[in-house]
Amino acid sequence: MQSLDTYWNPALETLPVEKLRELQLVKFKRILKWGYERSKLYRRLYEAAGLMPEDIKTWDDIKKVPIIDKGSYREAQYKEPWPYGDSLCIPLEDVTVYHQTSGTTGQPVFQPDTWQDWEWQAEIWSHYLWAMGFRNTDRVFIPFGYNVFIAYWAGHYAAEKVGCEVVSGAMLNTEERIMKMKDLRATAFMATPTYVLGMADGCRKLGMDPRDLHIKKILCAGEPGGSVPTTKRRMEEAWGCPVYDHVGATEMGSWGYECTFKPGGLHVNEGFFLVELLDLETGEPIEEPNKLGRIVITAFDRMAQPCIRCDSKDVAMWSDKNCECGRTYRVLKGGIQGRTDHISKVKGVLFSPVAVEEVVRSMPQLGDEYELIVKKEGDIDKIILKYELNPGFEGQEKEVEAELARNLRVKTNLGYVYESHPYGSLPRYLVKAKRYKDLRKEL
Amino acid sequence: MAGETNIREMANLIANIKQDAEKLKELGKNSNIKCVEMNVVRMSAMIKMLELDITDAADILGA
Repeated sequence: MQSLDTYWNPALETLPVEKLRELQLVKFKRILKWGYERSKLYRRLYEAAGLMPEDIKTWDDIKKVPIIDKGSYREAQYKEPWPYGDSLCIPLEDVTVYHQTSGTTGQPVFQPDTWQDWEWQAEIWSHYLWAMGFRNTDRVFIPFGYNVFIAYWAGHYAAEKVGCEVVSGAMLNTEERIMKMKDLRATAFMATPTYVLGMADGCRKLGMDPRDLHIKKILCAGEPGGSVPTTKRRMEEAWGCPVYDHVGATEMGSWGYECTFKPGGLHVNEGFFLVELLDLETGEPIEEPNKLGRIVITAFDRMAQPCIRCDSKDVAMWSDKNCECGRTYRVLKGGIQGRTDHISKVKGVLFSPVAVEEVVRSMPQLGDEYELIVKKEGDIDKIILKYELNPGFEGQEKEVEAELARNLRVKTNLGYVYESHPYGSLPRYLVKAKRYKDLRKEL
Repeated sequence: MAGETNIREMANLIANIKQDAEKLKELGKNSNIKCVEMNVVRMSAMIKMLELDITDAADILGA
């Protein structure tokens, strides 16, 4: 265990593992009962499975509880009360905050929260910010267009809670945000990996080195890049400071984070969440390290629209190492490894776009942006990788493509078709990037 | 885990504060003083966080 100042809440974060599991079971039963008694969605689901909350007595019983996904909330939304439908566990008048998912994978899911839920959001984020070294000496800039998406809202309130000074960069463009960070001497900011790199690029366009802004730490969320080693290195080298990853989703809350000890992955906030890894084929729980599984999340304490065994569609593996920080919370090795709806077979080989990101970002000749398109030509799968050469590397397409081919063959065991695009011509994103398109699914 | 006794003491104090907050909310409601009732809603949310952070840990540790 490190000094107590390392932790936001040493009581939970260093709880002996057997006590932590005991607590998780208590909390799981509590939220299951709440959902069953208050939400028609969960009652329907559990009754159909012949399950009563009191049937869950041991850790092993948890796998009897049906798994939901975002689609379950979507279906429930078509029922009353509008707009949340019958997943809602509280009277509509007790809802104090509305957010929604981005709708990337379909009709957006509407997320109700009570004031207590919102305090909970700030509380769990406070654990993360503290673990990342955010303190009352920090001036935190949040370059986020505060809107219906949950994104950095909770980060804002958590930063206030841990004592930071918070500056919203909502209605400013990238250039104005950079200048505001410089003028105010911000010490930290929060953004998606795409935008962290985009802002570094923005600095250079203004004739500045991002390092001259003297940012001390960056929190990433929204994309897996914060845990992709080569993307993280690019961000850290560009800004000259540590970058910490974090993971969550609108309907689940934020459940994973990196600490200053950098455990080589993400801590799971096991005091507030149950994170299960389930075998990709059999659905059986995975407890051993180094085996990929889909992530199923239960948020123990979010009450208006509970999240009980929700399939996140993300894929990860347990680490075989404990973090030196002394937290007893488990670590997901390398963070999020991809999404089940992105991992697919291409030319008969299991393919994850995150592996391509890792290769592209490892080559200094390549710009930060790229696009990956999978399509069918006749019966043959074809992967097109569109890339940009960084300024100064013009005319080196042949050498770069040979290097890409070698590295990608090792990493993914697949061949690609390469398309070079002028620097700055591929799409730039302010929040989450959409670099991967599988056109075979649109046929 | 260091300070288990303190955790129990904190948990007891949190329980007292919760009880007082509930009393205050009820008084505000019965007296139709909205600012009392609604401020306690926010206060109660913070007390709940203390329960999740401290009381749950104290209970599980049997402290």
